[in-house]
This record gives sequence, structure tokens and C-alpha cells, in this order.
Amino acid sequence: MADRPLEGKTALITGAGRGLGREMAEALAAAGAKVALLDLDRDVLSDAAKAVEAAGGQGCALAIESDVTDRIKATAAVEEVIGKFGGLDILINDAAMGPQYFQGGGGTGPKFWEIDPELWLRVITVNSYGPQLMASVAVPHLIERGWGRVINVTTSLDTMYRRGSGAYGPSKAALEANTSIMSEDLEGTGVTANVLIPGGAANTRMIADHIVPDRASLVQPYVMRAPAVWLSSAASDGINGRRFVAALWDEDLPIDERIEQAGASVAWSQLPSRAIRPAGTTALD
Amino acid sequence: MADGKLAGTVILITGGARGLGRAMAVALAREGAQLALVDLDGEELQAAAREIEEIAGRESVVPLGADVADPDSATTAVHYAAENFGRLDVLVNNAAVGPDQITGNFYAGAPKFWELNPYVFLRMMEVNAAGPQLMAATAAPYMIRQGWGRIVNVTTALDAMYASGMGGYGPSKAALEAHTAAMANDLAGTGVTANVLIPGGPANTRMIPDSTGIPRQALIQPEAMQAPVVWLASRESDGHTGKRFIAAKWHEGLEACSGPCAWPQLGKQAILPEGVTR
Repeated sequence: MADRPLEGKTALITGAGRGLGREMAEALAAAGAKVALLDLDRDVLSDAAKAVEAAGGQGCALAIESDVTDRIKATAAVEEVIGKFGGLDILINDAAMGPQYFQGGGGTGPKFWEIDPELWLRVITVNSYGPQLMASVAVPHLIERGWGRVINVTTSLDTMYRRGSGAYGPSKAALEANTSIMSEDLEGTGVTANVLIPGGAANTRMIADHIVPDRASLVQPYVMRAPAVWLSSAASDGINGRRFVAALWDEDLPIDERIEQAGASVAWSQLPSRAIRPAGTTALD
Repeated sequence: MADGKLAGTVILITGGARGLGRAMAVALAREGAQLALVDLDGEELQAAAREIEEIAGRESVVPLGADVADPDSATTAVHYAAENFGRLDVLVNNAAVGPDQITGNFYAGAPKFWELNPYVFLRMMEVNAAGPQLMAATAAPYMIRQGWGRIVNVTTALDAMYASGMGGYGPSKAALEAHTAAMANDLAGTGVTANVLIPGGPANTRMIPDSTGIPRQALIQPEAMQAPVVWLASRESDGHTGKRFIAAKWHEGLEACSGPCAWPQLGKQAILPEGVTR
């Protein structure tokens, strides 16, 4: 039980067919969770589901071919998870279109005026709207049970405005901001919303070989495992509106120091720039 | 008409029919600029165009009904403006779907994120984040060929980007803020700059409905945008790029009202392999 802290919990992970999503799916299953793997790509899904069952046991995985930007499919996916596993506790929004879609054959990446507008919009739709849609479908179930987790995978704050990655950075800035909004809206419900990022360029298909030939020099996907399990467990109760850098999650440290070292508040609230507001109002423009 | 700081400067403003966009259009016209006003609302657009005509003359304004989120519509508007006036110098990305589209009073009883209409969230991302990219991607090549130009993006206060109750408004502006920094980087050395201009707080436009209960005079008036946008559109702002300017603090001086785009003050964050800069 101690090493299966997620016994009795059900997680839905988008983009679970490969990369960070698959890594987290295996880790959560190994920690005792039932895991629904959602991906667009049927071929990688079945492999990933097998690996998850190997990690967590027969029957712990459910592969769902779906699209996070399709309202009907997203709703059906959440209903399928609840139908199969009897509930839903954890949503990990990992699915994203990465910088590789903009970077083509290499060099320094395209200038913003060289980008296909349909692609720019598609990336914003998948990476910013997709998590909003999935969370808005899943969260009412979590709230009803009085406990739950929304974990959004964004990116490093400086990657959000780095040039050459098209809509990738901006789409993640939007998700980062929205995670703060989610955490505020969820206050007091028992459900939390946090960000988990690898902490740098990770060894997934998002970073093409021609950009980083030495794959060993990248942040390895396994760094996501331990913090994803901790964030998904009751051990992180009360942690809301934070961002965690997986590469800084040091299991050798006592938990409080670990949280301190890898964590920060979500978005950019450390900055002093605040709106000038009429007296008595608390938010806005 | 040929007088003024901006004589001979061609400027396209999205969302130019009302609010901040119209206030900026009026100020730019007074300085002699020629204007293409883009808006979805045909009736208000005609009224705005008539106001500009009275200031600057019939030849100085062209109203264009277009949707900045629609690739055909947006690119046609940019090309039409450039061909009509023979050049294009400044793009002001001001059009946005505001928080008023979520609720009449987002200060009290605003919907939680899971209660939002997904379509409105998506539309905010399309119009407020993808729209400016589409307009800028179409306009920038004209400016680069001329060796001079301006992209001015209207975002919002950094903390409004993650304020609850406004749906996708804040997140969409966070995306545009980050993208402005990337635009400035892409444009380095071209003579074209990219900057953010914000009122600095809730402004007296339809985005803050009367139902919020805020007295209109307590809001930042749209006219606050006028002096800084004229400066940004002029030669005086040469060399200023990748910055954000707060209109309500304009009178305090350039240093006090400006800072870098996005959140670079938070420092280097991503762990990257040696030699990789992006």
C-alpha cells in the first residue's frame, strides 16, 4: 500500500500514447491507479496500454482513441472512463502539438510571418482549448466526489516567449494562465489544479534529432514520474495553484524541501505589474 | 491633412469601430495618418469612418468589415489596405472578444471555468491570440520590404491574464503577450518593431459593462491610449521593441510606463542542452 499510493484512484491522461504522457501513465499505474490513456494515434495507444498493464496489472489500462478538441468525443471519453472504472479522480492534460510542427527541416525555426495560419490556430486549439475542454467536462465529476486533481503540462516560463516555436510557447502561456484561474475556481472543492513541467527540452518527439542530436543531454521523461504520482496522491492535498519542475524534484530531499525546491506559484504572479483598478474591484483588465 | 507627425503613415487598426480602437484611430488621424479601420460591426464601422473623415478627409480612411480570426477575411483586409494606400506602416492589433461576452458582471457571480461555454473560450483564443498572429504575419512582409514598420498588440495587465471569471480572455492575452516578445525577436534588425500597449486597468469600453456597477469615470478612459499610440506609430519610437507600455502611466515618463514584454524578469528557466538556444 505504501508503494501503491494511488490504489483506488482513476486517472485520465491525454497524449498518453507516447512521450511524457506515456511515462506518467506507467508511473501512475505502477502506483496503483487505474489509467485511461487518451490519444489521437491508435497505433501508439495499444503499445502504451500494454506497457501500462505491465506496470500496474491486468485490467488497469483503458485505451481511448479521441480528440481533446472535439466536445462530443471529449465528453464521451470521460463517460467511458467512468463507465469502465466507476469514477474519475485525476485528469492530466498532457496532449500537445510541439514546436516540431513549426521547425521543419531545421535551422533556427521559422519567422512568425512564415507560419501557416491554419497550423498556428490548430496548435492553439489543441494546447490551450483542449485542456480547458477536458477539464470542464471532467471537473464536475471530481467536485461531486469532493476530491480530485487537474494537472496541466505547460512549459518553462521562458520557453513561452522563445522565438522559432510558432504557437507552441503562446499556447502554453495561455494554459499556464488558465491553470491559475482553474485553481482559484476550485478553491474549497477538494479538487486542485497545478502545473507540472519537465523543466527543459525533454527527450520526446517534440525535440527533433537535428536540433539536439545527443539525446542523453535532454531532460529524460522519467523525471515526470515521481512528481506526477505525488501530485496525483492524497499526499499533495491542499497544494493548489502551483507549478512544479520535474527535473528539480529530488527524492533524496525531505518532502518539504523537495516541494520548496521544485515548486513555485503558477503563472507570473511574482511580478509586481498589476492592473490599476477602481476601488472595490479585485480583478480585471 | 498632410500635416502632423504621422503624415504619410498608413495604419491598420483592428477593432477600430469603438472603444480603445476608435480612440486610437481618432488620435492617429489628427496626426495626419491614413487609416484602415477593421471591424466586424458594419454600422459602428461606418460611424467611426465618418468621424475620421471629418478629421482627416475622405481619402484618409477606409473601413473594412472583416473577421481577424478568419484567414481569408483577415489577409484580404491587410492586402486591401496596403494596395489602397500604396503602403502599410503600422498594424494595431486591438480587436478582441472581451470578458463582457462571459457575463454582465464578472466581479460577482461569474461562471467557474467548467461552466463556460466552450465555444466562447475557443472564440476568445481565435480572435484574441490567433487573430493578431494572422494579421501580423500578413502585414509584416510589407513593413520589412519598406525597412520600417510597427506592430502594436493590445494585451492586458499581467495579473488580469490569470484573473478568474473572464473565461479565455486572460489566457488569450497571455498567449498574445508571449507572442509579442517572439515577434520582436523575429523582427530584430528589420526596422520593424513589435510592442505591447495596454490601458493599464479596466477601461471605459463595452468590455466593462454598466452591470459591473463601476462608475464610468472611475475607469481608465480610452483617450489614455492616444498619446502613447501616436508615439509608437512615429519615428520617435525607433529602436524600442519587445516592450510593453502602460497608457495610464504615460504621463509619468517613458521609463515609468514601460517594461519588457512577457515575464523575462523571472529569469532563465528552461534547462537546455549546451549550445541550444531555443
